[in-house]
Amino acid sequence: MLLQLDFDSDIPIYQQIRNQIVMGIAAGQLVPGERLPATRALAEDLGVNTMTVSKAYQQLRQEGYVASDRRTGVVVRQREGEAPPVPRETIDGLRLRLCELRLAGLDRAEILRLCEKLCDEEVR
Amino acid sequence: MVGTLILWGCIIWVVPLMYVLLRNEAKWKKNIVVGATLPYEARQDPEVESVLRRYRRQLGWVSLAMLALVVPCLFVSRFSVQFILWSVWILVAIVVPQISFVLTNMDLRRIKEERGWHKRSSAQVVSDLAAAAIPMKWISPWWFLPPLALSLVPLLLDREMWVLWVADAVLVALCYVGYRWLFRLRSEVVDENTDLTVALTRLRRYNWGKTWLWIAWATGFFNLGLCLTLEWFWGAMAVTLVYCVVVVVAAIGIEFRVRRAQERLTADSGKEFYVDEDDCWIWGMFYYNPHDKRLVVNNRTGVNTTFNMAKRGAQIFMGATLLILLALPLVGVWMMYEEAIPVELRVTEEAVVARHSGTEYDVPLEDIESAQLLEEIPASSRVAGTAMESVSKGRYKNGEWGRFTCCLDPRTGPWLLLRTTEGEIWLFGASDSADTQSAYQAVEAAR
Repeated sequence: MLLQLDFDSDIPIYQQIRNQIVMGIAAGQLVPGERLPATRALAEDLGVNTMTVSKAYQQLRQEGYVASDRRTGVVVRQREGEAPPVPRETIDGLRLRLCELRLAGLDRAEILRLCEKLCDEEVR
Repeated sequence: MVGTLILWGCIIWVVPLMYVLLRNEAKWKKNIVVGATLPYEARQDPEVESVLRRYRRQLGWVSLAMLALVVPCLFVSRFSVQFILWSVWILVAIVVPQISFVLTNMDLRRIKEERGWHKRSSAQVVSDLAAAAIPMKWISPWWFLPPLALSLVPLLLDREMWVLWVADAVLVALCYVGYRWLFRLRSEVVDENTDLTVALTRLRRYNWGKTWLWIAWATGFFNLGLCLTLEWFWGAMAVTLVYCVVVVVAAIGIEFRVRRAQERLTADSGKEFYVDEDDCWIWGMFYYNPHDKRLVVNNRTGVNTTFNMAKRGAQIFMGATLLILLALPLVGVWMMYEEAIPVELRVTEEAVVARHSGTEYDVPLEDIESAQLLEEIPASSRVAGTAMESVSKGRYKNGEWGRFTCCLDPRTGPWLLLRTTEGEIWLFGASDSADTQSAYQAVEAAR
């Protein structure tokens, strides 16, 4: 999976790393058990500070997307049994986007159609 | 004339080397040609092809002109003038072919803009997670120990020149330092093909280690060879020549093997998504990326590395290198000055005084055990000091006397050999033979 960072973006670099890894897992580009680069290796590869990558991995760990230990390093987490609850920030973020779509003039049906279309694209 | 031929022989190979290296840049590797990243379709573009043809032709003419420039320089008799021409020629031979490269790179970038092939900005960076996850298998430092041990063998054979042997051993140790810290651990992303990225990454990493190990072994053998042939000028020259040839051939051979593999592996790349970092490479040559926190970066093609010019350390290093290169002709000016000053020899009430430029040697008369006027000097080699056509000064040694100090004009004779009560040997000779004669008489009279 390719990670593409944009240093001109308003989104912090660690957030871009986190977001793209989440999108990669959702799209099946990163499968459960797949090893991610070590913090230093990824920082060296991207030319960013080790702390930046460390922060992204820490967030991914807290959100349950990856797991890490000293032997295996950072790996994409196997989702077994009940999925972890959706983080509150994600729900709040979704609510905000819905409000923005309403203010942009879309009605309920149009919003649902748009969501369905985006979901289909992700699954593909 | 022999000295002149050796002097030019040391550097003339720069021309064919620059030619083959720069000409090879006109071959497509990792979607890059002459420092410009272009899509697959550009390979059949008539304008791109025409620019590349012109570039190859220009390189050929520039190289021929550089070689032709050497011919009149060979007939200059004064060594200092020869050295000035030599040092200026090196600069010109390195810089001028690069101008062709830069102009072609600018042409290709113009075409790229016109065709709408320019997509990314310098603020973007791409990494392949699978390739980045491959751990680097560093060659163990133990592999560098045998050549290091080899380079230290001369210390057992010749203690007198220990500084030279230790300096060479340090060079071998520096090979490991260079291998370990002059490399950027970055995956070689060309497009979305992870297998390709992994293959290119492994190719570079393997050959990087191989290059440094080769240089370490060659330096170890060079140290030993130099020690065994030090007393024999042509032997030492032959060993030095073989060392230079081995190092250059090994390094260039590996560089070209990597380039060929890159060319072959990426022959079909660039049809859809491809990585384009052109905005980070000034003229396709100098890496400048303020977003990149690393000082050392890998060249896009081949196996070599370079510096990120956005970092202060790189700017200081490159600035200092440039200053040294530009100051090289000044050494020739200093040599002209040294050549023009005669060697003076006189006897005061207390000592024999030999002087040249800012150097002065005093031998107290009371310490002199014997004085002898020589018509010939035994063949000697320099330990530390100056050896020019008009002056030899400093510490020298030969098989007959061992180590001695001299300050003389080798073109004129006779020369005054002094031995002191403490066993020291001094050899003096003024540029004016009459001064040497009268110094000898004065010393004899004073004893």
